Amino acid sequence: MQKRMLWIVVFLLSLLLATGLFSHVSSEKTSLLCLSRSVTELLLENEDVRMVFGVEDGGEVML
Amino acid sequence: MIFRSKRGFFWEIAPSALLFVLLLLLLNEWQVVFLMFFGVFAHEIGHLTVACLQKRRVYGIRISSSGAELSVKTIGFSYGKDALLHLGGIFANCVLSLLFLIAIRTYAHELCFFGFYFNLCLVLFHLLPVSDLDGGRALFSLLCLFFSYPRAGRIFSCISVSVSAVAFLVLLLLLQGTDFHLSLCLLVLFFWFGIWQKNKVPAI
Repeated sequence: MQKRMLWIVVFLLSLLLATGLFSHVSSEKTSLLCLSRSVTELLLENEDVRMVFGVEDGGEVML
Repeated sequence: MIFRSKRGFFWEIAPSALLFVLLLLLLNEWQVVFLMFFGVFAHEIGHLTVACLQKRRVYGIRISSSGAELSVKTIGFSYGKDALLHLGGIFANCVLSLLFLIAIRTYAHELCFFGFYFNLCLVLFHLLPVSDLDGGRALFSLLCLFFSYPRAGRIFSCISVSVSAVAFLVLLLLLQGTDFHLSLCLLVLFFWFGIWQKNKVPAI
């Protein structure tokens, strides 16, 4: 049981290392924030949605 | 991995949950992962608040790839109170999405938009009357108020299977609409795996 736990910890630490090494992978194709940005841009084209979000026509949105 | 406090409160963390977090961190900005955790944490706080108000005993918390889950005493409480307990988490996410909407109206930052969408998605997802989701559990408790337990079970099974099939198709269409976005596919995969595993292993 302890040996199995050790393997799990080693595996997770390796993954953590991989996360640090390959953090540049984060891009438009993988990030949920980019997806959210695209959805916001699409939604803000609608006047009613702009009113809900309190964004005036031509108002500043930090995207 | 299970940790127990002296009072018997347990914390169970599935290795798949850690793997899930690491993969999310690999593919997303840390602020996004933090906001997602904040939403899930608020959801559980909602359940915990209702459980405390109803003076239920809380045994522990289980964290898996499909999210967190509180283990509370259910025997000796009415079905109406059970339904309220299951809806507590959804209510907490509703409040949080409203707060993010207020934040958008005052400070239209992309993270506020993400927080709003994520909490809204959590609300809509958990409202689905599907087995092992809060909406499903609440509906089953409400059905038990009006029908006998076996009949409520049969009605609920019909509703759950039908809604699951429709939700699966809608989800596939949504994923296709986003050109099978990697993080979104990962989320769906882990939720799916989590629900399948919960149905396989009986809850504590």
